[in-house]
Amino acid sequence: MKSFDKNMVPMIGALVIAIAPQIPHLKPWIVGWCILLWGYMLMAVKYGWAGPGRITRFILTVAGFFGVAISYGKIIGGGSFVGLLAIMAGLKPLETKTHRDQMITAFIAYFIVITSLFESETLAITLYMFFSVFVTTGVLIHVNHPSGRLKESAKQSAKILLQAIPLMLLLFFLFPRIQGSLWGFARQHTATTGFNDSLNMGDISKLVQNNENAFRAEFSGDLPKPETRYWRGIVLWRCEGARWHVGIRAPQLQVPISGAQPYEYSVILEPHNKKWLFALDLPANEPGQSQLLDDYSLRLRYELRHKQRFYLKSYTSYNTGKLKPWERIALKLPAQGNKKARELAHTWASESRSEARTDEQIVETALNYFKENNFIYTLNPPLLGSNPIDDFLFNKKQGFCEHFASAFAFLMRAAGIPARVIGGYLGGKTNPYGNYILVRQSDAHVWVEVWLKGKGWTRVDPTYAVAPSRIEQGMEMAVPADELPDFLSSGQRGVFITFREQIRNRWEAINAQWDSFFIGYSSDDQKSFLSRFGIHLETLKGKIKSLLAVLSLVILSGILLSAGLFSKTRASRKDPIQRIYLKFCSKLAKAGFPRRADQGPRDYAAEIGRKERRLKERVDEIMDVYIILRYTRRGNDKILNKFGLLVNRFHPGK
Amino acid sequence: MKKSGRLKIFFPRKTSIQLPHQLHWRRIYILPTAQGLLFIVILIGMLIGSINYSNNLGFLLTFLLGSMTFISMLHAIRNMTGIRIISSGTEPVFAEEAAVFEFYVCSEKYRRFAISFSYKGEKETIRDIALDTNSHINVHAMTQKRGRFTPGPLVISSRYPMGLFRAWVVLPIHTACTVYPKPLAGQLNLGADTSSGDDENGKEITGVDDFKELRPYQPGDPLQRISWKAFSRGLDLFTKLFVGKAGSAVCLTWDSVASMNIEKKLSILTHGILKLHRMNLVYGLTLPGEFIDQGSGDAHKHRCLKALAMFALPDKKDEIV
Repeated sequence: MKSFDKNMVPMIGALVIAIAPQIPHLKPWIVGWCILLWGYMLMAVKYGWAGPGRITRFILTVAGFFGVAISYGKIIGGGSFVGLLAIMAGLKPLETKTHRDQMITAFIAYFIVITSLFESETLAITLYMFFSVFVTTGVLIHVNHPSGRLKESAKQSAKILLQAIPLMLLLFFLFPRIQGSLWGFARQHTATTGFNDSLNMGDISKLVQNNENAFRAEFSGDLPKPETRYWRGIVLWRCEGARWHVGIRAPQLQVPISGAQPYEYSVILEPHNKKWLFALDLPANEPGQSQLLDDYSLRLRYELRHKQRFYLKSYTSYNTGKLKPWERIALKLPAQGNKKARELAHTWASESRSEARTDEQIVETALNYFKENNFIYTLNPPLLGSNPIDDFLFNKKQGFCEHFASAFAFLMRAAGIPARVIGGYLGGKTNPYGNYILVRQSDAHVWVEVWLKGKGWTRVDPTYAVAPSRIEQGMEMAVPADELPDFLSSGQRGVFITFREQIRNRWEAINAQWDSFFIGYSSDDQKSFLSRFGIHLETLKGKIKSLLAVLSLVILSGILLSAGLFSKTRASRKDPIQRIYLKFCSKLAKAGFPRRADQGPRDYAAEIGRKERRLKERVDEIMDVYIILRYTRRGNDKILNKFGLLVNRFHPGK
Repeated sequence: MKKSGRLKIFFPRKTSIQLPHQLHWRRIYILPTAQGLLFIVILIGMLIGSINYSNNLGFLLTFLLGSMTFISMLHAIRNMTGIRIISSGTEPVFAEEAAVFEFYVCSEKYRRFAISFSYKGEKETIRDIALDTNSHINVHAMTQKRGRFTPGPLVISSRYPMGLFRAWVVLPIHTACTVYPKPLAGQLNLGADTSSGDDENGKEITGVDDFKELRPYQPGDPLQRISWKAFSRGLDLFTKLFVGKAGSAVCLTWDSVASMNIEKKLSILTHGILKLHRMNLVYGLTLPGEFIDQGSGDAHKHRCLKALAMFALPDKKDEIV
């Protein structure tokens, strides 16, 4: 009962620290459950109440499991796993009388730590992970050293943690990684923000309210110019009036594109639970397990559930050539609806035919229509009627990029020009402390591509016609200040704000470094890392080599560590007198006169004097110096030096 | 079959070791505990999860915990290596009592935490061993029958630091404890020693606890025999005198006990000796093949009890504590 009392507070502390990052993901009643049970146990310890009996515990366990099953709808999968763990974490302190139970409590805490890593992958959570592991390990040590003080256990925990870090790094970088997943079982995720397979009016203006990061693009050389920072994601083919849909799955690209102004960069993409990748317009390679499709969208073979890095190459100047037969669907429109828009487009088309104008001029006309008719770029567009394109073009005239893009693409198709809507991001934030562009959800954007003879698919951004500052300076400048979400509005710029901005930039840059070293580390990185040491993972020989390398490095570090662990204590290292004395003793021991544990210096010297007369004088002299240094106040550095010299020159064997 | 020198390192001789003895890491065994195995299973689960979701932070934590497990194994061995067992000692006990073996243990270089000392199947004594001072550790072992009790090898073990591994060492230390027969109250027919003393007086003696008279206390009289009852009544100090004059002593013999069972006989004799000793009488003991002259005092008592303990046992000659 005593150790039960003594360990209760640290155990509950470890659980609280482990579960803290999970609290926002847990159902409120589970948080209440934990607080209630832990509070009860703390009170029980303080006031000496008896813990709940077996039957109460059983009832509570059943109730907790039922609660999870009811509130999550199932017992396995998704968030219910974390919920179950939290229920167990709440219950476990009720039965921690035995050593075994206390250890299992610590294991539960470790397990909760790993689940929080599956929710978030930031540097902050990583640092917190180390802290949490430190606390839990301290508790584990405390449980196994009941007579010790908590401070000692904490110290030992820190020691083990620090000693484990080199080995951890070794394993992290060298442990063979595979691409994709083992089973790929689905995981319910709280809805992540980002693009969907279809685009409705209002989707993007909702998305830009979100401050989350979408991805980070790291460049080795110059950054692309702001006006070319179009990050291509999904290509929407099917027009359903105001709604656009991916429609078909484009075939795989047969001939890779070549163009001018190449950029090589890497994108560290935040998990969005979808299969598409975002790349600078126009991507030209297939990084990792992805496919480059014929419409130049990149599709992963799996849904992206974790931050991952992709090495990409793009050309910002390109020509996609002829219109392929399957791309003719880029002319299709719904059978009816939006009559006025169709009529407008038809007039443009017939005008252009009669005047022998090119399609480019029709595009120009359409853009001018937006420019000249007082269209307003706004985050809060009014709702549109049953013929939304017509309503937008001729009545409301207020919209966000998706309104302009879908209306423009509609007009183009109606005028006989192949057009498609592209969803992605525009712009991004640069950081003075790192050579990367940080793209956030608030940079989400939609634009149009039209196919023009001799030019191929050409990007046209109708938003630019209305709000050029969106492209040139970003959203903050293009939208009225009172419409902006808080995080985007610059407000007053005082000294404090700029200082805060600087700190935020620094922190973001550190996060970027962290992401590219640890979070983005993939099997590709590992391959190139190992090939630098002549290990090629593709071959069997390479695999064996890498395994041997890991093993030998682990063994080597083990040996180094144990050498450090088992070496002389710090005390004797710090105590030069003791060190020299021990050296002296070992010299004598080698000569056949070992010191017994019970012998002090005088007895030892006397015994040697009796046994070996020829050594008597030297040994007595050295012992006298030692006694002065060790047992009197007359010792000083000079005498210490003399002591060292005497022992160094002492050769009893000769 | 002779073991080669190299093999000896891994299969240490089972013959007893001499004290002082310092634990060498090569003698230390280490295996995961049940919780350690469970933890390893949890780690494998974490690893599979991390692979499946290719979650790098999952990998990081898994490898961190895995490395810490490995490091804790080294710490467990380090915690045991170099412990010095300086000496051992023990006091005789009666059968069915716990024999207590005292060990003086010291630690060089650094402190040792939560070291457990035990004999196989017996209660563990868990202690820290302080640096550079002798720690004094009592290890208990239950005894069953009289004679010379050897508790088997001493097991020193530790689960420190994380309880995931148990490091242990089996030390066949030569220790033995004399176990006296379990005292048993019973009818004793005491006879005076016929070799010294009066025949007539001897017959008068029917029991050792027959009170005769009080005489004024003289310095040197044993404290147990002071009449505290009289003293409490406000009288002077008196010493109780029992039957049996000076010079005539009690003698316990094999025939003093009627029982035919040898062990029972020895137990009753043990009880008798303890009683005689308590009363500070002079007594002797005669057993078949063993004769102990009259005497009194602790040393004499132990000599008699030891004779009873070792009666008719083969390894009587061994010198024991």
